[in-house]
Amino acid sequence: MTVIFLTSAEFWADQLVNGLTTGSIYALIALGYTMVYGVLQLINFAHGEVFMIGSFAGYGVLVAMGGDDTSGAMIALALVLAMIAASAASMGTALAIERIAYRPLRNAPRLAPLISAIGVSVFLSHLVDDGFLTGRSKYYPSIFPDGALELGPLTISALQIFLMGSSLAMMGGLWWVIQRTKLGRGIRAVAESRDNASLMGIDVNRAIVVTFALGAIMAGVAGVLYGLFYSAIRGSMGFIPGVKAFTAAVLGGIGSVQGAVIGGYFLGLTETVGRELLNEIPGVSLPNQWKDVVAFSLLVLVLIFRPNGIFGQKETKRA
Amino acid sequence: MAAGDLEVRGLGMQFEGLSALSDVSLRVPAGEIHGLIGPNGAGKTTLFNCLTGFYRPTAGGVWLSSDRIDGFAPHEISAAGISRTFQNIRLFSNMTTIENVLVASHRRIGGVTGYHTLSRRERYVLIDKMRIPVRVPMALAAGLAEIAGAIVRPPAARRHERDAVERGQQLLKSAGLGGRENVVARNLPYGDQRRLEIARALATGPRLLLLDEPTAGMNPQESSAMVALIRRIRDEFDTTIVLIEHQMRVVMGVCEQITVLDYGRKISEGTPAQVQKDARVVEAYLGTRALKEGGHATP
Repeated sequence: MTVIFLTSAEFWADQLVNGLTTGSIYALIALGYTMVYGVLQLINFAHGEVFMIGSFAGYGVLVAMGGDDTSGAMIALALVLAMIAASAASMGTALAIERIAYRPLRNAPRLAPLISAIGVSVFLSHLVDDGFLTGRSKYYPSIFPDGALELGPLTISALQIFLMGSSLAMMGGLWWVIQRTKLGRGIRAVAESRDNASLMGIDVNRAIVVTFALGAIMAGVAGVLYGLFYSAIRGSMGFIPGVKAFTAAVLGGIGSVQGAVIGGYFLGLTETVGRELLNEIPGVSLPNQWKDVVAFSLLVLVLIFRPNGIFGQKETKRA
Repeated sequence: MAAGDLEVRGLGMQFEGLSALSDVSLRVPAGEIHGLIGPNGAGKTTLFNCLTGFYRPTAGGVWLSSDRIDGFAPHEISAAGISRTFQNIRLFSNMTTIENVLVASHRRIGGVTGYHTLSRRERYVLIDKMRIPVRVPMALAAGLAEIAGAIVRPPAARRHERDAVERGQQLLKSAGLGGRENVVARNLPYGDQRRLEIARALATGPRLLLLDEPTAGMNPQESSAMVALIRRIRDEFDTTIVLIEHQMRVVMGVCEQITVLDYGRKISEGTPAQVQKDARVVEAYLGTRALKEGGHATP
């Protein structure tokens, strides 16, 4: 009996591009998780909602700029303004959360801020869903020009190119800020030792606030990209991408910036390509929802065999 | 009081029933190298922790250059002019030597709004007294300006950073670490890590430098190099120095005045010669044999 591949090279190329696209969004969100964990050892479970708020702010700008009827150079302007507004809204949300829900619990047992984070997450998603939208979704105006780039079997839509390109630009910018600026140096110092940084004259609270702000900027941009790509947005939209991005951060080794990026792309690729690979097994037919099963099985496997993630450092005992 | 004078009055530190320090007073005039000795558990490091704002003393007060500083947060005390090193080295071990020094000079690099350069008193007058509806938007705007400034870096900020790097290189050179700017701290040999810790402490621009066992774990040769470095620092950077030390040879060689602690209380003070002769010190700490031999005092 011969094995018949139902799928072509084009199909796999599509999966690859789709994987990298979702991976970009995961990576952008994962950066916020990993950086906050780096300075506070706190899993900011409300980060998915920071992303959601950014997405709505971007939506507001796009609608105000003409919605579906936006054309020409106005599209570029609308996209830039949407991203700026999304980043600002996400940042405001993240800073308010930090001030209200985390800072008062800075010296409490570690479980307390975690529960507080989950509370904020539920509060925000329901506030938007039940308070403003009454259960309906909003739809991003589809303003992005059609068109695609064809490279042999690869077909990449203009939107996907834009999405991957702007994610890479944001990540490159963040890397530069962390490695090359005074702000980044302060954050790295606080991540290594909060007490020590403070004795060296670093205002630790400011460094923590800046960390939240940088992570939120990434999440805000991710929110706009997500809206452009998937169109429907609602209050609970942050949950699954949030958990996926958290998974990506853990995969890469939580606390590690490059780990979050690589974890994001790895997860994006695995859940699209991985599911289709399983579908190649005769008799197996997994619907799209199975990508979550693939993603979280991967998380379990990594936690069993490499608990510190791919890039995570072994926890060293402090003297 | 002159700039750089340290005065500690009636300092007490209580940990839930345990009295780590009680009624400790000392005066260190500017430019002095002052030794702090005492058996293990005498409260020497606790005193350092109180001076640096790491602990909040439960009684008494601390004055530096006639400003009262107890109750300040550690970064505010650092801004007021106190810096320290640790008994067990605590560098930013994943950062390079120059980055370690630069982190410590952040306050002096400053930002676009100049917030970093304000003293606590100035911040109170200019900012903290304002009402919340004014303060919050202003803080947000200032924060955004700082972030934008750190990323875009206007020419003045670039110059500040360049100056800081230059100063940092100078400091590393004075500490004997010239040419090692880009070595990651954890890869430095032990003695160099101690030197880097001192260079980093100096980068905050201290009037008072607290050294916690600077020669711990060093052989006699390294110790005497450290003693020379400590003297040079005092002369070159015009700082007051208080050091905790167990090696009596170092204490007697470099300290001009000594304070002796035992069980959280001051039991003696004076010049090395006076302290050596003090019966209470001999009884509490040195032991007659060790005193005569002038060797390492810890049993």
